[in-house]
Amino acid sequence: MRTALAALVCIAAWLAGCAPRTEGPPARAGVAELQTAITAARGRPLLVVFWATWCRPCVDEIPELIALHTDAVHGARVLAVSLDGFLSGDERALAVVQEFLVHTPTPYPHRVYVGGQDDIANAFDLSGSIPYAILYDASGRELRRFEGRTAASSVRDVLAASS
Amino acid sequence: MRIHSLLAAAALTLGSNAFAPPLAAEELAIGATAPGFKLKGTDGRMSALADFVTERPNRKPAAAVVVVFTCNQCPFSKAYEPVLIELASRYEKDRVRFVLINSNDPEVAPGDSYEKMVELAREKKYPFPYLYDATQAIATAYGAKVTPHIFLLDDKLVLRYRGRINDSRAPEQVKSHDLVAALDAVLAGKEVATTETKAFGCTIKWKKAS
Repeated sequence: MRTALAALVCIAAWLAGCAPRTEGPPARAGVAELQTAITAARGRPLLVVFWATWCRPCVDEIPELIALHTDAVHGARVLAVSLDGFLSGDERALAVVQEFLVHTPTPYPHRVYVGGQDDIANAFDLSGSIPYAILYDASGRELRRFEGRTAASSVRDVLAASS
Repeated sequence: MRIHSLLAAAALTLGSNAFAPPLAAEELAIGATAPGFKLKGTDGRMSALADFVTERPNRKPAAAVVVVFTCNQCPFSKAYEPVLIELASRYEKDRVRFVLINSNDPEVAPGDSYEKMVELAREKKYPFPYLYDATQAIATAYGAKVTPHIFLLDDKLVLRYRGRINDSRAPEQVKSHDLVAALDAVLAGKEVATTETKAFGCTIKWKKAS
């Protein structure tokens, strides 16, 4: 299963002309650090994806996210925010994500959320289930939310309609 | 060890229904009388919500009923399973009844079939009824969205709390024992301080639109 997924990820990355290497190591982040990272990404559209390694639909959508992150047309970027700490605890979460990325590298950056459920749920008005994604335009304005798997084509459509 | 178990479970869980739109309406309002149900349990018998608060010759009516929407495979549900078993045991003397309901569509999540429910309840020696909401009508009526999703009812079957069990599965990080606090308030005849919290977990696996 994991081998097949890794192969799919590699194919997606190859088609995009990009090595399947994670952009920088995953790092712990609280709400403030996440908001700083989102602000710093202004200048290009940004899809912030809340996920966890144990979440099958989250893992299944990785090829779509790679395709989006490496798509030169709209120049969108992906920022993945792991909520693994909700189950494994903040101390273990970073190692869990690091281990996952060894087998399934992605070209987009990762943050591993540390902090309370309420803090992040309130800060981003999360729905309670993952995957959950928020799309921002280049100016940082929220464009759309995606509950469940996000198709790259859906993101492209929203970006095309907003430009 | 727990993490590895969760990861192994994750490999089997959830499935490809993420594009199916959720059917549930808004969550049941605090203060509303809970919708009744009569569902088949893993023991093969039908269980009705009203039965829990009905006096019987060999059983006193429940002082509170904890309705838990859950399933067999969701890593979040599996992680909280021992917590629910412990709570059911701890509050048994207080006449708190727990009832678990699986509303997932087995066409979408094969591991959440009734047959698998029977196996799980037997394997884990569930001390509570585990019911199968085959039509998903009950999850829809309650507005359940994820697993596990808690709805705490008082002895009149009025909703007093809904949301999560607590705010972290990692014991050292729990700051808010939401369900326990709500249960203690209901049992003490007091107002529940926090009546709603956001339930995190796996999305309920709704039937695909035909």
